[in-house]
Amino acid sequence: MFPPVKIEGRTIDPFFNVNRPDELAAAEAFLQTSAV
Amino acid sequence: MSTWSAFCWPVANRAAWAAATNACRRSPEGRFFAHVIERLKPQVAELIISANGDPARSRPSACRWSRIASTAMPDLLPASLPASNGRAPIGLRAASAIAAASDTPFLPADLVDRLRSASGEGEANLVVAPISGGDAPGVRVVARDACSRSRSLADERRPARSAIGSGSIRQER
Repeated sequence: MFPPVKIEGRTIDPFFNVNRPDELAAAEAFLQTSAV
Repeated sequence: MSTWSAFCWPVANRAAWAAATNACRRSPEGRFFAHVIERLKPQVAELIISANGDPARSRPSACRWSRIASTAMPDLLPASLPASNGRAPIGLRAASAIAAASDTPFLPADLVDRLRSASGEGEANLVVAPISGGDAPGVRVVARDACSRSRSLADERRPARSAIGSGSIRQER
């Protein structure tokens, strides 16, 4: 129903939920490289 | 803009602080929460934030809360209750609401419209749990009936409830 969110050529699950340290790091990295 | 409400619960007070004061966006929680607010606010008529504690007594002050949300209200439900189960806005005025965790920073800009369409344009009475990792859905739709059940649960604790709205203050007991 919901396609991945595409931001500056990168895609991510729109319901990405930060629950673990590795997910925190991934979200941080995505935000740092994207103008979300 | 939808007539739905959006309800956000911070992962921690620290996140709420960060987003509300706009001074700590360097912290991951603050930035994530800010993103959730920025995504949801244009999509709904009312944005409600769970303040964890009593928003009238805790900082950020009511004034600061009102800058980012229509309403800030205490989270009165037992901490042991899973977020996916009971974190519903007490005193919800809209028939339906999107409930989103503050750590779901990539929500679609058309989330509410698409969920409304999926629910047949009527009053949503469904719970959706799109999830990416973890055990609790970061986003769901809650119906007012479900909120009423949460309210009953909260009533058992006999707390003083307050809600701070832009332009209006109401006390519920």
